Amino acid sequence: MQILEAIRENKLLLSGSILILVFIALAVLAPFITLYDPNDVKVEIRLLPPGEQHLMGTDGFGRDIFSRIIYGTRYSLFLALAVVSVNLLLGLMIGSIAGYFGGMIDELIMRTVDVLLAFPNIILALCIVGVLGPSIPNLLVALVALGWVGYTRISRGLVLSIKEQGFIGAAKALGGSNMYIIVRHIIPNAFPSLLVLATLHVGHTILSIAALSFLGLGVQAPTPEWGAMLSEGKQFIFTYPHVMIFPGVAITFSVLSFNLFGEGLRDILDPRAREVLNV
Amino acid sequence: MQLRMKGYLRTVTIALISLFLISVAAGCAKTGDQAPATKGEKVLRLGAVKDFKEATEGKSLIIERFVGVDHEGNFVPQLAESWDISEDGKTYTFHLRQGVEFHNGTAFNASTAKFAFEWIAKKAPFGSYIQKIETPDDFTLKVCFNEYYAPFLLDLASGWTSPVVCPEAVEPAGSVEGKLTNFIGTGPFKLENYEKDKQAVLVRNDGYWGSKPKADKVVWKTIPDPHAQIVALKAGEVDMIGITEHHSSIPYVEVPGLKKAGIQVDTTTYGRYQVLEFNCHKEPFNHQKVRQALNLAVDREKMVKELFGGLAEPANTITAPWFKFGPSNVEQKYGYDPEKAKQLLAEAGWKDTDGDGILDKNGQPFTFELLIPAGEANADAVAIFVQSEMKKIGVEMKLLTLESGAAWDRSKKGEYEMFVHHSFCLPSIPGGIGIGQKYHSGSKSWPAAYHAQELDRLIKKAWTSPDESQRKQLCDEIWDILHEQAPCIPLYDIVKVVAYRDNVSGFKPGPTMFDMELQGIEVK
Amino acid sequence: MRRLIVRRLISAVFVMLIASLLSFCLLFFAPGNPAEIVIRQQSGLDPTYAEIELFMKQHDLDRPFLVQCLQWSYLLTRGNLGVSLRTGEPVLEEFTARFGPTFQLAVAAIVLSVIIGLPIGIMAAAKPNSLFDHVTRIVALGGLSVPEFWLGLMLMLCFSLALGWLPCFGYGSVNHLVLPVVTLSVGITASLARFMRASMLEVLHLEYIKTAKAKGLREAVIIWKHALKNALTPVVTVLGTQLGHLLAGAVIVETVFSWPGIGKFFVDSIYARDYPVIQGFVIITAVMYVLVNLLVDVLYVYLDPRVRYEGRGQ
Repeated sequence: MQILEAIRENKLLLSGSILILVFIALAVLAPFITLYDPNDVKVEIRLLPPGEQHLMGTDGFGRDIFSRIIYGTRYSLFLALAVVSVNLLLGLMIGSIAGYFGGMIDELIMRTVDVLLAFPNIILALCIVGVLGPSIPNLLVALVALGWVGYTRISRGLVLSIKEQGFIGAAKALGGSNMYIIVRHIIPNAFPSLLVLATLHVGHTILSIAALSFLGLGVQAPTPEWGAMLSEGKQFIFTYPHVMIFPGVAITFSVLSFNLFGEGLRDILDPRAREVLNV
Repeated sequence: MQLRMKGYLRTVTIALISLFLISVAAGCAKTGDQAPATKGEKVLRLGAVKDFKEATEGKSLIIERFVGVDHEGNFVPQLAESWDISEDGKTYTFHLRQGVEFHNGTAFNASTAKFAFEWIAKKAPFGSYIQKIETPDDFTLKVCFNEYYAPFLLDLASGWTSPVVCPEAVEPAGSVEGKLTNFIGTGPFKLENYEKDKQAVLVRNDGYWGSKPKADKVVWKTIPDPHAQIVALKAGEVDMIGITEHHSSIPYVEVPGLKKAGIQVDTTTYGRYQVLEFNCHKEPFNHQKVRQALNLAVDREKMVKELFGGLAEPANTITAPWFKFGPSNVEQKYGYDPEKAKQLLAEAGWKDTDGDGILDKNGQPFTFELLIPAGEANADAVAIFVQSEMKKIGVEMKLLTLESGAAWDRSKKGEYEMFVHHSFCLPSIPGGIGIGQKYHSGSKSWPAAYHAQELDRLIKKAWTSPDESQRKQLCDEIWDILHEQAPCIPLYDIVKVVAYRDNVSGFKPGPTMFDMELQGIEVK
Repeated sequence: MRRLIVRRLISAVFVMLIASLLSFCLLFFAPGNPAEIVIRQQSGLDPTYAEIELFMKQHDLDRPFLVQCLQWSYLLTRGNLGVSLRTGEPVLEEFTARFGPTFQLAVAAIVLSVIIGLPIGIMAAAKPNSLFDHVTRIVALGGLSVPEFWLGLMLMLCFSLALGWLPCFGYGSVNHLVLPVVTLSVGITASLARFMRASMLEVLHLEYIKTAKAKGLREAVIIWKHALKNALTPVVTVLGTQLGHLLAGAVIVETVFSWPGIGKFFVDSIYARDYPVIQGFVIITAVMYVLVNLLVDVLYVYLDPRVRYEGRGQ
């Protein structure tokens, strides 16, 4: 109930949630909304402008762009959510260990993080995708390999500040094992702040997936993924711009919905921001 | 305290603004070098995908070769005016052109030619066959081989392998193992100015031995993105695009738009076909009938019409028939006959027994994967078209695009079922029927192509004897076998598209994809 | 302070070396042969086996993995980053030839974002929940949501093709700079404005600001004179990170606008498996990344005298 109340009060959260729900609905109900098979090649009707038959026109192979965008929702949403959750969990665990134990373990983990941060993302993506071949699971691996460091760094910082608080000392004094303290006290306390970050990161991940697909390192044709659609449509940019405009708009709105949601969540969960709101 | 902060803010603001101004000024300063055109000077501005020094095509404007090759594969004189080949094909005597000078004034004669030849031989495939190089007189170069090496003149006609450089062009100067650092040659243009990744300015070589260029200057502007090139052409920032790449860099879809905008568009065929290569050593394509069936299942006419607006010609032979040793006399050509295709597949045992629309045999559905190297021109479009054609005869084709280095790696190991690429063309032996090339079992790059003992025998016979009329006959036999076996699906002729503004006249396509003939071009 | 710098630099050297060697390992074991790719790219023909072998021999690519690693490390100790397989020129030269355009783009984008983003953030924080605040917040969120490559292409479509105001590619005049800089700036401006707003709001709730308010100082004076300096601290960190990334080359924008910077060259080198260039570039960009971050830390001390690094890690 409290959540619903909060959502109703915060307009950002409200609009974000509505948009996200719409996207989820589109993903689930895709077969009922679209009139055409997203992969049905009909070169006779290629590159039709938006019209009554084809709401957003057809692409270079006569496939219905509207259907492809609706089906594409599934890939972008699913992938982005999967990547962010894995990153969040991995980063939280490694970061907690680093922050809690300190010393050599901390040093080792943080230097690894430094190396990965100084490392050009694209090499890593290229190697993983190059060695394993471009596919959805491999794309996931690449994005996790790139993404976990950010969460690790932030959770370590959070853990360092939580560690200093009285109740950790109390738990230690009561004889709690290290693992117990990390799992029961540190992680639950660090989680809310990270959740806000993760929500904002979903949008960012959708953009990364699209960018990788655009560079040809992501999802394979003819999968109706938005980045791949843009990459395919790029050749028509000056002649048939509608092929590029709609997938871009779809990406923008899906990212925006998560950004609105995350921003709203931050207003509620971040105490300082709340204080500001109440002024 | 307040005062200090004020000062600090001011410093930051000033610093920011000055940084901005500096970077903008840095931008302005660069405008000065946009090839300052003297009044009345005729400048031809080319839009190029690659940086000037990275492209072989550009080098050929400055540095020439001993021999050239024409459209069909006959050799034509360049710096060697004529040449004699001994009966056994082991000795070549080149009669060098007289009165030619390199751009730096060094004379082109037997001794500089010998240097250039030795420099080439260090890196060229024919290098290891050479026994000795002699200069009987000032304008004769004699090359003796250990054994007959058939593609020698072809190698010599390649601008990449065999540029005739002068001793001062390499670093350290005069060393046959030197690195080419200065672009000094004998060609119709001299390199005046070069900026990495930006542009190169070439000026006419007034002492050129051949027909002198009509334009005073050629500016090679590097514009990697083909769409940006098109906009630049329409906006008049460049005069001509598409000519500087051997492949067709102008997307075919843009051609109608270019024509509508009043741009001249020329297409030339160089016999480079886009083909789908079967892995002939693995199921299901180790079966001749299956390969023939798939060849009949693709409606190439419709493909080129729908995808490319009829710009390219559909291909019905493995390589262009008009090449000197091309498949001009083959009986079995490929067409479109889906019924025949289904029949052939049925004969090979592929039938739809479970009614799912996909053929099967021994409980296995007919599914295979097409490997596409990323960036292969038009490959994505073609792949999706072929995919839908395959579906019509009950064959499921999946697509796998790999980053090109990785894709070629797989093809070299034979780890593919079907692979899309383009056929060999000049200046290598067109169609891949040379020794060690695609259809020869000794090929290390194509272990999964169609190979057979009889084919090997014919190939060896054709390319180990200098007798050309016998070679033509043997090649005809080779082509008959290959077309019978259907080792690949040739799709269409990848024509080279050149587009230019109406201030340009006198364009003539070069003899091979790598050659540009700019001499006749006039700019208004 | 000096200890901090020394420590940072030492760890930076290790990070760089490891990152560079790691990139070599990854690419060495990734499929694709540099000799084959380079020959194919430059000759436009399928390379023969003999050609590939010769190329590999000439460039020491046929040596075992460890030997190549050691060879490279040895050269590095003499300050030599090796020679590009693709162009045959020294890596350092390849880098310096392309750094100018990248630097110009990065600085212009950062400056533009600062000029627009910071005032918006400050003004939004001055009047939280005002119409201005809401509008800029939504716009900033929108700016963060647009895919960069798509935005670039759309701007090109509008301003170059439809309106014909600006050139859509290339390098040279101020006009050429506009579209790439705007494309890059949209995201950076948005995140800067958001950070500035959040940071300013936080500072405005500190005691000394409340005291200043109680003293009856004008709001503008409080914000611009008292709060700004403290509020800038976290913003500087963000700026540093952004600049560090931009100096390593804005790959996508450089590709879309055919900008002759290092990002595009780097990606092409990866595709060509041009190991010396990749390793060299990784080292150089890592150095810049570290230096920019060090600069940020130093600025931090200057901006916020409370921060003293001696206590770190003890």
